[in-house]
Amino acid sequence: MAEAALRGLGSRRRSRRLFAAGMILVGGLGLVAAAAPWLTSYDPDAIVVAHYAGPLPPGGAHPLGTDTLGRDVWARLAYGARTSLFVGGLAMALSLGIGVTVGLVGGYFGGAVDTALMWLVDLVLTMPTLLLLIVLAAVLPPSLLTIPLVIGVVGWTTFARTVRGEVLSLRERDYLLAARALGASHGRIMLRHLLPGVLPGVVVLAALGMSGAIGIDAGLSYLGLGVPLPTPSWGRMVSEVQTYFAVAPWLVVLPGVAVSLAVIGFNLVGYGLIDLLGERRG
Amino acid sequence: MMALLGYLIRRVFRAITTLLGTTLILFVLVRVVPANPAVSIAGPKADPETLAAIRKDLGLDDPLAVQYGRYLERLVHGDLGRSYLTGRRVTEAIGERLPATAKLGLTALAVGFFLGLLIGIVTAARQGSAADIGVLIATLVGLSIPTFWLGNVLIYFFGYRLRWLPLGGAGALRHLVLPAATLAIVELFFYARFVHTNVGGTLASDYIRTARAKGVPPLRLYFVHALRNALIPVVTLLGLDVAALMSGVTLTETVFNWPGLGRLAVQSVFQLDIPVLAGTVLFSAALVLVANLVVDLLYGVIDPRVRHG
Amino acid sequence: MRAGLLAACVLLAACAVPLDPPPSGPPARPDEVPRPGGTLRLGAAEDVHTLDPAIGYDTGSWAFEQMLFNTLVDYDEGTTIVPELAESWEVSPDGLHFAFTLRSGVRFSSGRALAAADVKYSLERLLRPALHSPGAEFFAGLAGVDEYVHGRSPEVRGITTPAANRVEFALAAVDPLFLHKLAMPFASVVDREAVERVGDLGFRRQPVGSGAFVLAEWVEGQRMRLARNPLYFRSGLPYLDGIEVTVGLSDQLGWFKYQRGEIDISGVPSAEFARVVADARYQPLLLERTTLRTQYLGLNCALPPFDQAAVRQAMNMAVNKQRLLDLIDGRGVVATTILPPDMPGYDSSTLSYPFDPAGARARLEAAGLGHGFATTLWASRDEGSMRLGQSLQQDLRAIGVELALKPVDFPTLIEAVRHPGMAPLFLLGWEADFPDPSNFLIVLLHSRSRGTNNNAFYANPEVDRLLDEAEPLLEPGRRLPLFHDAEVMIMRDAPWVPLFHPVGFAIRHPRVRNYQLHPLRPSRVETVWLAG
Repeated sequence: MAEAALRGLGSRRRSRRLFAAGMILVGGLGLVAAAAPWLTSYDPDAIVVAHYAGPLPPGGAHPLGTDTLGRDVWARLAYGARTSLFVGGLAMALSLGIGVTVGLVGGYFGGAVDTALMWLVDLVLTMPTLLLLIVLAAVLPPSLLTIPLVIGVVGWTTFARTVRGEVLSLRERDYLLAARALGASHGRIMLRHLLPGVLPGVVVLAALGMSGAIGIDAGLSYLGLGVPLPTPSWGRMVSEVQTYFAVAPWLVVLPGVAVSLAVIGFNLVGYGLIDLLGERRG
Repeated sequence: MMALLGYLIRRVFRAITTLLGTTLILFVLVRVVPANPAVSIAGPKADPETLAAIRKDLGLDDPLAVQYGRYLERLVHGDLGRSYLTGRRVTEAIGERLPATAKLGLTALAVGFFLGLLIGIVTAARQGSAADIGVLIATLVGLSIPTFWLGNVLIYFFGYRLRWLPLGGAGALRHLVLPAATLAIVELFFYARFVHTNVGGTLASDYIRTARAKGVPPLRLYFVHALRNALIPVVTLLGLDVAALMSGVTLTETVFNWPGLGRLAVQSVFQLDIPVLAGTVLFSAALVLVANLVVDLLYGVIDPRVRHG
Repeated sequence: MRAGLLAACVLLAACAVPLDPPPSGPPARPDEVPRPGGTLRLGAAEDVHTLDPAIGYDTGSWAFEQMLFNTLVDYDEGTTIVPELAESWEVSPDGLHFAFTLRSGVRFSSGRALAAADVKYSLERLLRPALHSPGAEFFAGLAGVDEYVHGRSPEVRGITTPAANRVEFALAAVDPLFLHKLAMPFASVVDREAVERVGDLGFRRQPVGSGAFVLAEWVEGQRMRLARNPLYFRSGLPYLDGIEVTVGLSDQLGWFKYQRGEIDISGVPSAEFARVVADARYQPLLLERTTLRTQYLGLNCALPPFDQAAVRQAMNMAVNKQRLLDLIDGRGVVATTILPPDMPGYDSSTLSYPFDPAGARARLEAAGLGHGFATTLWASRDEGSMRLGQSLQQDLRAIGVELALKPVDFPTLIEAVRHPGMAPLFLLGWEADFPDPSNFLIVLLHSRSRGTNNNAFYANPEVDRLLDEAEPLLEPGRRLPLFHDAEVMIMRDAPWVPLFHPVGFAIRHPRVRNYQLHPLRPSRVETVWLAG
């Protein structure tokens, strides 16, 4: 079952190609983020238009135009890659870490441990996230860490419950019973036998979750609660310009395209990994 | 049967303690934020004496434990209090908004879930085909679109540019199309992706290979054999999704001016209308808990190997 | 990849959609006469908080309260007091007694005749402590309010009704603003029987007054409908049969609905503002009105380093106000003083600070802060405030000040700025209650207003003395110069950076006639009519 599930994209040649495409996207993204200062001479936060009279269309000194404050869009996109990768990556790592641990432990041990952990899941799941964010925004000093922390801390329940569900169905399988009979430790059983079994679902969720985090940043920015200003993030760039669709479509579309490319890249890499892993094992 | 009953009782007990925890967290959060709900009632220009009198009247100056105790006591009697702002009963306000949200949420969920299931299975059956990869890319793009963005774009094109559908609001079925589509698209992609992966795994398993060799017709193979096996994680997701759906509903209702609970909740957050806020949080929390309970019970039906423990 | 993106952008830029024409309607003709009938369709972002005039203290509630209720006196289209329920009034020479004669034939929409006793009842209701009316403070100067509030007297001695059509007020001290206070919606005359029938809470949703309209339907979160009051005392008015408000419209949705001809009055969203103003098809439909408002950057004088006047002056010189205004589509005029231009006592020659970053840096150096410092700006979370905040961030960075933005929701902002140690810098605006300098200078900058609306925690005994001296003076000739002296002194101490005075903008459907913006109040609709 475990190794059968590790097959995502069909034929090996095609899956390798898609994996390569994903790597190129993700690599390109990393490159843009790392090399942002060399890719543009503008300060992404600086209002560079002398007299603001609406966003400038792409061309001339500003290859992608200027935004609703008269800042260079290309500079903000390039530097925004840093923010979005940071926010998405940290949020995802947090949710993944907490969620998989809780799901594995709860599903494997069952009983009181499971009940307590699932109670925690329910609690987090029913927590008023928006209120939590408003309170944190008011109480904490503005920081780039706040958003990924909050997304991470409230976002792990999906992982926990999915992993637990799969562990429940794997728990009584013969090979696990055998491992237990052979005296394998709990930690070893969870890491060596259960974790690989739940991996496909987790990788899919993680890859999707990365996009989710970027999307949540966008939604929060839309409500005025995103990363601290004036830090550029793609989520904020999408949300800032909602009403400019007819007037300056490039403002609305460009950050959206950036988000999509990132999400596609991460997912292709994720599925590719599953396939490559499967090949090695199979 | 007795075991199931015991299980049910334990779960309901757990749900109730969770709700208590949620309301407690809510009270602490509201207390922590350095804002004065009296300002939302009397306006920012009101004099400090009036504000102080209002605070005192609402019992906001009492210790947190006293406030919480009072809230619970009323809760037991089914009283969620009155809105600070409008003076209306919270139960009345929620009851008035519930049908709209239910209509929107259920439509989106049903459309998204079943279309997602269908697309997931079909693409899983044709793994690696151009259609499969096309759907994959579409899914990823779809999932990376923020709800409000999609909503605004749909309003712009179908409401404003083409004039096919109304510009927000509620009433006739036509009003439901765009908000439900906005929500359903996200749902659809989510389920499609997940079903795809899980059914894909099952299709490659020995059990299906055997069934295929035995000459089980393909449709039956996909929709009965493979699906049944892949359903547990999908159903888990469905339960979790109720929570995600509630937050999606919130943004969608705001964008489309849909008179539901989500908009009521957002408004009450921003105006610190604590009774309304607490009421909507409590309500959606209860909904999420019930959904998860149902899902856990379904496990047993779908996969008898899962024991309720 | 960059080249590809570039090409895509050029393509997209070419796709910017031209501005659609406004909805079509009959053009204005010089000989046209008001046509009765029709429903005015309005949009609102959220439900009205309350329709009880004793409770509402926000523009949204006032807009509808003034359709449902009347006050003794009111403003004309400017800020001159004119009779409404009162036919005439006399003021005693000492300024302590006001006697009003009521107009005859005024009825509540319930059919009952409105009498002097109703005026007395309405104000006493407002003053009742249990009601927690934010308007009570304005009438605390009536003789005998103290005894009434503390339960030592069943009535307010200073309000008497010698005849069914006569109501008289006695003040404990001279109040030059008393007539203006009577023009506030707080002083609306309510139907006692209705209040007693539905209770104070119920009255918020089931109001009964004598106004031009009555509430017909209110579905929370969806719509509110008002219908013409057939008993309204001004014959032939209102022209409209009714008003329908669609609740929950964002700026964007409201604009779309306006362009589709589905609502009659709308704001103009920022994205479209420049194009609309420049478009000859829209220009005749645009409504514009300067208001008595000042948007300012508050500097907390209780928190270092803003306890030093030199630092506050440096802030004043560092801010590029013209750019701020550009970023909000130029919807206002640059502020150089505290008082807005339409305010009596406004003087453009009041001490002001031109934009001078070099000078600002010099002042910081003189204050020993040449190396700069870091501080935090508290502001409301809306898009407009965020634009202003980011522009200020850049201005201050140019003089070495690192500004962190703290966007919070409005109740939090209001609470934060009332604590002396919380918000070093904050972005707020003030909209005058009365056309009088005291409403800015005393309410916002007198040391006794600290903890209320003096959020800069500014205190200067000399300024206090001037303000105290000016406050009770009735004659503008003596009153205004004193206020002006105080304002000059305040500007020298610089507890604020006055940023700009917002200008109100709206756009009307071509069929709407006689809809005007007001400098102090929401627009009145009783004389609005719709061309066929």
